[in-house]
Amino acid sequence: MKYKHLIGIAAGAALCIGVTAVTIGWQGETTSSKYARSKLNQLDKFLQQGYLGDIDDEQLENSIYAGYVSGLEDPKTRYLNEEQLKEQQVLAKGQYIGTGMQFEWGINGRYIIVTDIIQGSPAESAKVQVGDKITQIDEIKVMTSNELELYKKLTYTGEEPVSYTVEDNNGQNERQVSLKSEVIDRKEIDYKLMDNSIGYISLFTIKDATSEALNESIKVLKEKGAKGFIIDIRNAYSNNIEEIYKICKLFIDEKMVFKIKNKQGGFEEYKTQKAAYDEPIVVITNSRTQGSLEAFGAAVKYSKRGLVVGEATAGTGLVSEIIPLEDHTGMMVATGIIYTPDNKSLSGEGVEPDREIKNPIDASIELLTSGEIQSQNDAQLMEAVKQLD
Amino acid sequence: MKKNNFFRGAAIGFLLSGIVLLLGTAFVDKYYYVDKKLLAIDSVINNYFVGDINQSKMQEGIYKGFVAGIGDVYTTYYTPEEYASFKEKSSGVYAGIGIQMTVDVADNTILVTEVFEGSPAEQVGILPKDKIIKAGGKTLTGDDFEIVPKIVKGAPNTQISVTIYRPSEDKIYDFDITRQNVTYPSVSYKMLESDLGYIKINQFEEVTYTQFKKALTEVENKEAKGIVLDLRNNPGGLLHITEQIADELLPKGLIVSTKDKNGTVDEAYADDKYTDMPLVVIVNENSASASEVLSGALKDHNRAKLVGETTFGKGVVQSIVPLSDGSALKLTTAKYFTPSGVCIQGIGIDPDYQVSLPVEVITKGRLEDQEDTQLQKAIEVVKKEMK
Repeated sequence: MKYKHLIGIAAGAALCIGVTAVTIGWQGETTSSKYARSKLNQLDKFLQQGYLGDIDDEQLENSIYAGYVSGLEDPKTRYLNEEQLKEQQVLAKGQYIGTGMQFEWGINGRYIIVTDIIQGSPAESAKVQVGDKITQIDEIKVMTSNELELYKKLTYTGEEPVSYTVEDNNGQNERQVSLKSEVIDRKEIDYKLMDNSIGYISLFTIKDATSEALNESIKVLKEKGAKGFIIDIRNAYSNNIEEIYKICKLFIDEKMVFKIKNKQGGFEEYKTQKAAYDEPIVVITNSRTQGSLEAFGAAVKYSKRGLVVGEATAGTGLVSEIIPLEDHTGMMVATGIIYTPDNKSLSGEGVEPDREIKNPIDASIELLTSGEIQSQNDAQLMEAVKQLD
Repeated sequence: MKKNNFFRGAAIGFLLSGIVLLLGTAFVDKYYYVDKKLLAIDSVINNYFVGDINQSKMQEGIYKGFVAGIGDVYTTYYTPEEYASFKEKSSGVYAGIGIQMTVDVADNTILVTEVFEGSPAEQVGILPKDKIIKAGGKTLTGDDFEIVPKIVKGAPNTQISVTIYRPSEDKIYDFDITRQNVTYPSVSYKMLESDLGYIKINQFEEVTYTQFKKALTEVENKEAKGIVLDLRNNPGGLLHITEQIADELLPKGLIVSTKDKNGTVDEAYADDKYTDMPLVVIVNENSASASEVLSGALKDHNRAKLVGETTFGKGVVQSIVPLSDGSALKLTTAKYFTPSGVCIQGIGIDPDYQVSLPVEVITKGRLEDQEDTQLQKAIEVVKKEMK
């Protein structure tokens, strides 16, 4: 009987283990199919013991969600941290967030070249020019070995200013430019008359009223004498399928222009009525023509309303939605797949052009050395002009 | 009293176990929030996502994401499949068509950087600078780069269709290629002139020291009085192999030192046996890691002049931790220092003679020796030392 309290301890322990086991068991069950805790712990242990740099535990944890969602391997589905969620909500409105510089890596990886400056952006106010070369960002030298850190700075949309070391295209006039990210109402359309009879219209993005702006620009160009139109959607991305439908209605007569497959496997068909314009059109696409804009390229091609010239589009013809989670983070999720009227999915394979024209290597070099391609060297544009002549 | 004892004991037992279990389950609590959030993410996916869901890929994504959270490009998690292919690659032999590729950032395409000698790709006529636009029926852009090796590789004697675009001719070619076992030729060599040898190291793999030693003996037998060592576009590789090669070229002295998280220093020394003929090294912006160890050591000991462009700037070393399920963790564990005590991370090594290739030459398929201004400069420099 002396040992009664020992038996008591044992009984208490057993009870406690029992209670805890039930609790853990329940927790474990809800997640056991997602990942092996022991493995995550092992990875954590090895990182903590061996990794040379500093470790931000919170960052590791947050990165789990991004990794989990990226396992879906879908180009339009991803986890959004707080900063990314804000950015996507801005982009969804057709606005832009950033410093206003578009850029490419320079030819030897030792500079980043500015290829476009968005109107009204901080970069424009700071007098950064197309063709300028960035050689350092904050304390980081522009070298391929610093790519990740540089990319973080270039796409940073937070509050802190970032300092860029910039020089002119010819390597002169080195200066420091401090830029802070801003939300800008981006111009979505630009147009001009070419060769007295061709209306050239460039779409950068699609906003809720872009079809009206497009309609207005066509009226202006027609008054000036345009007999045919080039619609340039290279490098343009949009997720706004309703507005693309309105754009299709301007040009394409009484046809189903595309359809969208939903989660349940059903299709929603988009049909047009009598179109507003019947002038010849040529659409220029490239591998960076993405999202619902690919549906426009496909609609023009499959209705034989006009020609598609350039390169195949990206093959990311998905409709996506932004879904906020409770903790200010969120997700972008592909909710629909765009199909051509003849049942070809635009997810995976893009729209093949009627006339495949790659810009020659010289044009790429021109882009990477001067920051822009002169129109006479733009083989895709020249082919589009030829098709309208 | 007896009863009391039991219950007091039970209470103590409950508390003690509670403490032990709490310690043991602290880690469960650490992931409690993670689990909750993954459930929330799952419910969004199940309610909205239109595509197919592959649970095992998503699980691998968790490990990948966790490790990527460290924020270092060189620290990654390898799935069992990826680790197997990594090991195969380090061995220097694999089944495929025999090409090396990269993403051309200029137009987001997949660019062939190298076609191995005697490989199936060479036999059908694929050239460096060709762009792979389709493989195995799938249209490819730079975004698909990670999946390309999966498509191109495969068991020997199986077929793959590949479509390339050749910018120099502005033409598209279709090829049907039979995959074969390809030995990665990490070293190539030739005589540039009757007394001048040329050795190029593509990458530092397990087989590379043996291949290098053979090349060195061959050019010595052919009575070379000087050597041009080409490390351009060499992304690096195994450190111990690089140290063995450095030992062949350096007199007695420090080759490289590494320092880990705890400050532990590890030094590699060359012995007094070495090849002492004049040597010039060609480097460029893609000479990375182990290439920088070798060129840094040769430069610091004044054993060789460097010609070309500032090197890539990778001054950190990785270790691999294989896990029991076949997966692995690659992590940055140390910095390395050249003999003069510099860590070149994010800085690179400046050449003694800065020579850039003209832009029109960079974009050409095969580079003729005469057009190769970096090679020409190297020959000029080494010849001066040969006299």
